[in-house]
Amino acid sequence: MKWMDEASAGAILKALLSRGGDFAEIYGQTNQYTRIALDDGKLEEIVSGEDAGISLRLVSEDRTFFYSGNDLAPETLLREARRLAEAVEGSTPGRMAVLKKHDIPVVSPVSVLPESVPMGRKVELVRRAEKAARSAGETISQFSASYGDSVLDIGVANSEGAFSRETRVYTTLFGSAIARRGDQIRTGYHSLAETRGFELFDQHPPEEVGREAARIAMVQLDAKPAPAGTFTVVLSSKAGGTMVHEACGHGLEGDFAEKSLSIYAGKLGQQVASSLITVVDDGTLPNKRGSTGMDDEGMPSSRVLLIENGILKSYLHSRRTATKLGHAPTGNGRRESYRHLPIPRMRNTIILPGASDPAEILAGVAEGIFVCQMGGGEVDIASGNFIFNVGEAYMIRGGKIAEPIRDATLIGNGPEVLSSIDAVGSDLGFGVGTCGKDGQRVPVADAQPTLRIPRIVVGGTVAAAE
Amino acid sequence: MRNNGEHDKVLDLALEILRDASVEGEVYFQSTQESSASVVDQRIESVEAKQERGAGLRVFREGRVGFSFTPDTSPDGLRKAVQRAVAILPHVDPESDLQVPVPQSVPFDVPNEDPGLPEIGMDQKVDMARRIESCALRFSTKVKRVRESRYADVWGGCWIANTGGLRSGLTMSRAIGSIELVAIDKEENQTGYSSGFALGIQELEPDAIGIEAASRAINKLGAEPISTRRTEVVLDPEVVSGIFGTLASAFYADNILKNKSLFQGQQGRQVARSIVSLIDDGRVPGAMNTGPFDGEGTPTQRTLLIDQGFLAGYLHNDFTARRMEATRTGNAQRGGYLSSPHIGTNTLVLKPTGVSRKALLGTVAQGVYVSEVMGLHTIDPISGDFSLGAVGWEMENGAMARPVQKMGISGNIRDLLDSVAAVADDLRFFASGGSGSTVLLEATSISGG
Repeated sequence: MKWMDEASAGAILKALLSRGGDFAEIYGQTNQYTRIALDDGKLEEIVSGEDAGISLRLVSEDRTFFYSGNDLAPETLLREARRLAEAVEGSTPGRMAVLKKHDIPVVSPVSVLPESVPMGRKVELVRRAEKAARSAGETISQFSASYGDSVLDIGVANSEGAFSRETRVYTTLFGSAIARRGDQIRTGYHSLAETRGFELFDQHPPEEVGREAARIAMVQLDAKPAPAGTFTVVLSSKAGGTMVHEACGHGLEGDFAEKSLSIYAGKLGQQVASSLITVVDDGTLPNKRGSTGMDDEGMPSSRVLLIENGILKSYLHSRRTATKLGHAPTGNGRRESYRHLPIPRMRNTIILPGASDPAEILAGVAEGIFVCQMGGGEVDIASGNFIFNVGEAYMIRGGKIAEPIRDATLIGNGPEVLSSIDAVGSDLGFGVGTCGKDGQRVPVADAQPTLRIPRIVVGGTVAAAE
Repeated sequence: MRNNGEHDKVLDLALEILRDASVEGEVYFQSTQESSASVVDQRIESVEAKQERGAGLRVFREGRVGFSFTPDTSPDGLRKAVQRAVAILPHVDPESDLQVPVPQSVPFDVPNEDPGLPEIGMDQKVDMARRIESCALRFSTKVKRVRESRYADVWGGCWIANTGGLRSGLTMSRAIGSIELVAIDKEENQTGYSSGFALGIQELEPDAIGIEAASRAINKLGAEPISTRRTEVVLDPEVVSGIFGTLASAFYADNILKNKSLFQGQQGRQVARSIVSLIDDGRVPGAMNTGPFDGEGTPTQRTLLIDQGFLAGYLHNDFTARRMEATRTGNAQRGGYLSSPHIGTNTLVLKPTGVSRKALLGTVAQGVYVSEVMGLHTIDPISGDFSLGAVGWEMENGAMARPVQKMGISGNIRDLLDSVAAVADDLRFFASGGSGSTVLLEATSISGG
């Protein structure tokens, strides 16, 4: 967006603080995006456009007054700023620092901007993914792919003097394959998603998405229904990081901690996980899906140590929750768009590698389940109970990978599962996702080494012998 | 509501630009306002006001369709959006039945807005959020914390016109109350959530919302895992709403055309036990998704999906109806001006089988009541496989005996539809747009510790 100059921003902030208040902010955003959808062999839909808007925020004695809209006219913004100010009943204007441009470091270098790539090449990408999927095996009966790029231009100005801009570039390719044999129907999916430009596909050709989605769908055709009951589970480093995201990530978000809503609230300095477990949330990893130079409140991005050798060290904070708890800000204030208030969110959440050989972890399990791909998950913050579903998994018999199983869901309790982990591999694998919270969706990544959970409930369809 | 003719100007302008560009096309104009107030411990935590306004444009040429949108509804803004949409046309594959929808008008007399809502002051909204919270706190001393007690509303309208002569408009309003809280006993925390909605603030029931959230949290306290078993299962209306809401995409005609539905080729065949009848209705009084027409201007209607166990119909937009030579059902939906229309449900209604909720519960000698599930996204509408995490109650002689947690329910939707033994007459509508009734399932496998 044509982000406003210091003078206009200063005038709006001043209007916001005209009757008092502790903090005022302008957040402006332009999102220029393209989405291409291929399904059933047809290039079905292309959407391209620019979504732009502004929000104003005024904080007074921990009460937040917020306006958002897509009318960018300066007179509208001034009028809305004055309207917000009316909620504060003071007569002394709030304090305001002089606006100063801040240099935001580039954490994710981009070499090919999406707008420089002709539409025809983007379309070709999804067609290539489809060709690879359909030629992967005769049982592949259907494939859909979607390509997305987004150039997000963000500007933040606030009464503490911040005047910062950042451009974030997101590129994604998602593929979903269906394999059929007789009346058996199975699905598989795979995605590529980074904060990177079109050069993403130099390293990862689109065929990778098609082939991998098709492979997983075909494996599922041969898979037996998962057993139900309690099992030892080995999570491969290739499985993605849904477990860490659900088992502790959400519970460490500062808004839950601040209101003592989370099972992790009030436990700083306490043992909440096995001493083998160290967890960080890192917004500074180049090109990872959750990386940003600054958060959506203009705070510099950072690496936050959440759990160190099992001891809870920190929560993830937005400006508001850090102030409320008297903690240092962590740069985790994120929002889906200008339509939303920033709240504490994960970026790239990682269980750091340990010392065990991944092969030995597996070899040590007489009977259990080996998870190679995790799907989405969900957690109940207060109890810490979480679930996540499994895309690709196998039985382990005598320390070896045996037959594939399907439709397994793992059901556990965050602190219980993290405390029980008895082996942490020396490897590390990343997964990508889009995390939903309070109706806001933001891009994230997760990572973990190979992990062994000695006992966890597996929701399957075949009842175990009682 | 506030009929200032602005929308007519935007529609006329867009149609003129489409004609100048020599394309068939459609313009969708949205203008909505939202406001909300959040309260914790009776103190205002946040007050929000949002305005959203813009146009979505579809252009059609020889079976190809292009879509773009713009918040800028000036002649220049609309012209640029049409140009972007036209530029897309060469890149998409043609579909012979893709055309500008033909106009059709069906009178609509279901109340859909409270014209007084925009005049309600913020004080009254804050007060509603406070009342919901105090009702919850009064219900039990075990309710120790409130994450957020909230009042929110939305009002405004959308207007559609196309070069085929269609022109429709609607105005609507909804007021929503919700609360999320935590009940604590000894070391244990459990959350409870509830919401309710109405056309205006006066019809909201703060006590019902507060009490339901509080009892949900309290009921979970002391929950224990249960052993793996096969047993009768009762599903809460909200769980039914979630399961059927997710399963609904198996009824979308585009998924049928693409061979991506478990109901592929099942038209006229038995897909559920004969007591099951499922309807999609766009005109249910008091539902969230009620309105005169869909995102393409097609009138909404009542569509029978499952009739006494037999697959009776699919959900259509204009294109799929034309392609399958079926009647349009008014199920093209938009998520505002930024998104093109896609098939979706209006309100799903399971026909009751002649029992009250109380009578239904009374028939369960031994069983499990499922009050909440996690992982609805694991329902695969193509294979029908699902695997959910659940909490609820162990039931004995028709009563809730012990709270239980960390259960898994897995299976296939086809088996679930086959095992429906009763549907109670307690249909509820949720602010999420979903709807559901209490449902009894025959022996179903539950996994536990």
